[in-house]
Amino acid sequence: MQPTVNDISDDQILSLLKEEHSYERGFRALMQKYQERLYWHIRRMVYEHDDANDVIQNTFVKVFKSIHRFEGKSKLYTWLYRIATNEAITFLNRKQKKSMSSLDDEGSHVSEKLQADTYFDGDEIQLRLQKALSVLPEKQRIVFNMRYYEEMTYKEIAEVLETSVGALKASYHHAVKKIEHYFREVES
Amino acid sequence: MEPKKEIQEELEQISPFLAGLDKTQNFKVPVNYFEEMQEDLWQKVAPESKSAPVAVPKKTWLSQLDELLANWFQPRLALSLASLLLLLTAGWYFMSSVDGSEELVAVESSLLDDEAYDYFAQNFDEFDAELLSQLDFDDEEIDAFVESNFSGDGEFDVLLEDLLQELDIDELEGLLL
Repeated sequence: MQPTVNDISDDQILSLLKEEHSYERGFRALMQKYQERLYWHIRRMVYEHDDANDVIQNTFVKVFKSIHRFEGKSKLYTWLYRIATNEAITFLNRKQKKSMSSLDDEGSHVSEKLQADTYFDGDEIQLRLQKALSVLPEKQRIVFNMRYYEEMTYKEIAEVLETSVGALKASYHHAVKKIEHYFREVES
Repeated sequence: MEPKKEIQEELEQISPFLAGLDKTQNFKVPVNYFEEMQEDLWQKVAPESKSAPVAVPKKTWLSQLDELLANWFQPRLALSLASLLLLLTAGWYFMSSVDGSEELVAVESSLLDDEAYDYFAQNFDEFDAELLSQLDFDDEEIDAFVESNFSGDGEFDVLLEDLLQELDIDELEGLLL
């Protein structure tokens, strides 16, 4: 029985990518194993599908251009996540510079966009949650998404963001409290 | 403990409200998005040499030779080769003519002094200023040569002046020392 994509280890994927005759197989294995995870990670940061599509494309182009330089000092998915996160942050910073809006404005802006977005079908509470997340500082939002939605351990998050576990715990704790506070304010 | 369970318990401690919210993914993607993205990306990242493998028939030695000859005799390449050959020929010809004059000196050096003098007298037109400076005739021999080959109305002086003009400062300095 042929192994499924999820059965293929990262080492096997890297081996396939090294050889010319198996490069395409390696490409497809890597894509099938990680493309969705990375897409949703990016999407939760940038919200809109078109933006997420641009960022994920840039991410994978970078990945395949530099895969031969991957030394294996970190795990493959850590390396992939790091590239994806940095690409999303770069995109957001560029967008922020263009719009020159404040965080509060950003929250309203996101809420309006999501309501109009064909590719978002959340209810009122989910919309409010996304709005609450959008006003968090960027790094704090990333930590929250990775812990809450992607259910990553602090150790895994620390490897991606190159931050200490202690700092991440504090950051997540504050993010949760801020979101809770935002909901209470809105309700009152 | 499983990460999922650990994360849920942690959230319940920090915020029971948030722990109770539905985590359903509310973001959607277009139909077949991930399949199409894979193909789009393959077009961008597939190196030419690493595209889908194509069966290549094994070449015979005759077809390889034919290919080699076809490559060598392409118009542009043939023109470049012809230019190179021409340059090499011109270079060889030039070096040969230089060698010819060096040959004169070499011939001269192999002759005995008397024979060298006779040779010089018969072929002095072929000697330029540099060669003349290499000859080691004494003053008597030079005077005899001038007397027999030049008239007294300064013909030799004119020739000497012409020869001196050919010499550069270093060669002139060498003659005088």
